[in-house]
Amino acid sequence: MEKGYLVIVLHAHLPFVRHPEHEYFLEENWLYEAITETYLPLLDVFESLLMDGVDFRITISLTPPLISMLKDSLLQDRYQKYLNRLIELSLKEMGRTKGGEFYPLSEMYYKRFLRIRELYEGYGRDIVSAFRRFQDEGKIEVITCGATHGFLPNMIVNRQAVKAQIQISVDDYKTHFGKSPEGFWLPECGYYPGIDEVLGEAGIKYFFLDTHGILYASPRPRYGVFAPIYCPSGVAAFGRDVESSKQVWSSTDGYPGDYQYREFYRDIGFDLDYEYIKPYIHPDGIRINTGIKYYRITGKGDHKEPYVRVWALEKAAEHSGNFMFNRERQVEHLYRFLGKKPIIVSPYDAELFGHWWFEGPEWLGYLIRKIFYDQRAIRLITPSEYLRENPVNQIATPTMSSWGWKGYSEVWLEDSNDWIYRHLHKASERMIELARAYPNEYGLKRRALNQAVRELFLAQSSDWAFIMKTKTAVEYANKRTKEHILNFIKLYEDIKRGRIDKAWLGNLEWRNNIFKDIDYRVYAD
Amino acid sequence: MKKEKRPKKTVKPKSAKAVKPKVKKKVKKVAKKSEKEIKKIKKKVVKKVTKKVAKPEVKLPLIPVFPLTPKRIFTPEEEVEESKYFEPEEIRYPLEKELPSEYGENKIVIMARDPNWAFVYWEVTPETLEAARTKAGQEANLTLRVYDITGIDFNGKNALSSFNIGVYERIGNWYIELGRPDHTFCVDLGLLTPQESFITVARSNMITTPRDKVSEIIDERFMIMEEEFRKVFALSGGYGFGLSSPELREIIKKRFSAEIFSLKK
Repeated sequence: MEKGYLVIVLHAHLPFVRHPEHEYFLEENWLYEAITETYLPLLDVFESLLMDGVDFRITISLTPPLISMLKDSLLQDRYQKYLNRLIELSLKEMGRTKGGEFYPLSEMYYKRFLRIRELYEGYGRDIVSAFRRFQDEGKIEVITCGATHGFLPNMIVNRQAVKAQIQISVDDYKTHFGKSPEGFWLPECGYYPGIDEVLGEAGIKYFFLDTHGILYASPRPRYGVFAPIYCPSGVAAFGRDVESSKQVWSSTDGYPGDYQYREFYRDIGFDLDYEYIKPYIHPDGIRINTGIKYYRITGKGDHKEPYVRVWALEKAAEHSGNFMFNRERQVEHLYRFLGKKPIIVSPYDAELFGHWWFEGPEWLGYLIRKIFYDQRAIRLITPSEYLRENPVNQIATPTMSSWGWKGYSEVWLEDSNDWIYRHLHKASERMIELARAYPNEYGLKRRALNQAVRELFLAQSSDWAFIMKTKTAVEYANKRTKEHILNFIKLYEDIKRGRIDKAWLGNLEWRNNIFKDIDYRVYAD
Repeated sequence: MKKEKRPKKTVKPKSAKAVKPKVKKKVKKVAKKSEKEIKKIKKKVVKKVTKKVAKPEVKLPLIPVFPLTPKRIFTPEEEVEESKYFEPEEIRYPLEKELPSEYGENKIVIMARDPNWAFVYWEVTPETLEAARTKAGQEANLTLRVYDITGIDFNGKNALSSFNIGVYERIGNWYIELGRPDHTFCVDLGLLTPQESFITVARSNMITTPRDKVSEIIDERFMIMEEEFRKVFALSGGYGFGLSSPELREIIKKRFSAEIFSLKK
């Protein structure tokens, strides 16, 4: 019999980056890279586990923007082209490196991309349904997230805006997974007391918090983060385990920084001769990542040695053993100390696996196999299963928290991005006003009202504030925020004036086509 | 609550729009530099961010605004998330139209940022301001009045305590150091006369700052010895969560061990 439980949560998310108005749009690569390096490799791992009869449980949040993009035929076409070019490049690379030390690597990429294409086509280009199949098999539990990953504590001034973010994602989930979601990934783990009530009203059973959100709950949580608490609303909150998180997350103290692993920052898009690589980078000739990287981390300095796949995989196996060993000891110790089976909750960004930490999916596969075959102390579980087996838990109110820097709202509320809230809040207010003033519209006005909600949602993505803060793609983030708000304002004014610009609206619907069946009245009650 | 604080880097609180260009430029420059540096060392762990230097102006009242920012530290979570959003510097995104600078209303909103700080933004119409000035006299100053309304049904007069922040802009925003975790606040925007009478123009929503330590409330059905709870707390990672820099961790750890259980010694 097990001594404790392990919940592995993978949070898969990308902002809505779909630009049909351009032939090529760089930001769409965020999606293509994640498909190639994370989503399909993870599914590949799950396939092999299923085939070998290895039982497992993984909890995965797929956010509505990600689902929307994965299901979008334009982006599917574009991804297919992207992948084909990648295969072409890797084939060229095999020719270029023939007889040299990089040849085994170029061959590895070539085979890898072929496998990715095989999977993609095998799933009928529908990655969401592939995840659903594993859910139907009982191996993974797919949960949902804010409609466009809005950072909810910064929206709480308009409860309706929080409600809309939650309700629309729950509805969206139902259409894709044929049932109601049990769990909810709060964007950035952002919680403010009261959000749990809105989750409860939408039928959500549980969500996750960063460690201090639970530890500072009131009354005191008797079991720390090793048991969930029920909020007064009856929704359960699970707290993040620090130790297991850090081992995987940190590129300095954690596994991903091991010298044998692949170096993220050395890509042939930057390393190779310009004329040679030109057809595979940005059409304007700007160098970008291709996804083909030949070096291992090697050490702290600039000097990099070629990547050796076998060594990296050995390392991944070793690290998965280390992770399991640590969890076993942790669980045994806690079991004795608490007099209760502890639950260890380890949430990660899905894109950590494969995209950031190239060997991450393999590590996860090894870990699951080891847990299945080599030990008895830990059992992989999903939060819903846990709650069914352990329905009695303490009632307490968590404290406002997030998993961002400093643990609260500062990442999304600081000098670089605080200017957005004046506009976001105003737009939410106006959306409530519109939904109440026009409760039964049809035709063009209804379309305009629905598009207004879409534009507001897209402006609310926490990603823009995050990018403004980290300065990675700040101009794009500024533009996206402003454009969606400006679109909203025009829609608001047009609706109130009763003069809707039909052609312009049609163009917006074509570009920002997230939540096809949205009903603006979510903002009414 | 401390009254003496350094003003923000801008002399006066300005509208978001007015402040932006200057700040943006400054930050960008530094960010670029650090990016370059990072590329060079092929390691993306610590990013430095501008330390904003305050330029106090004589007539400005001393007020709480901006925390002493330590070196900007990326959490591993942010590092990973950031890696998803690659974009070369060469690519530009021009925007033809700007957002409105105001919406023509009297409004103030407060947002909790962390246990000790809140953010407010406001706007007031010129007409309202004029009317209020007529009433209050031309020497009256536009002022934020911050109320601690923890545990009460606030009626405008029964706040536990309050303090004023003089502001000058009709449209503006401000970071306020409240210094009181787990307390409830709201803010009035109004005019303060030299005789200390205050005329409210707009009242904000309420916020409660998050607790920054273990709750003193204990559920009897889940009661354990204090020592034992400390152990649970420690095992849960209570002395080192959310931090990625050993240095910062050390500081916080010291603070935590001193304060977290201060009420239960």
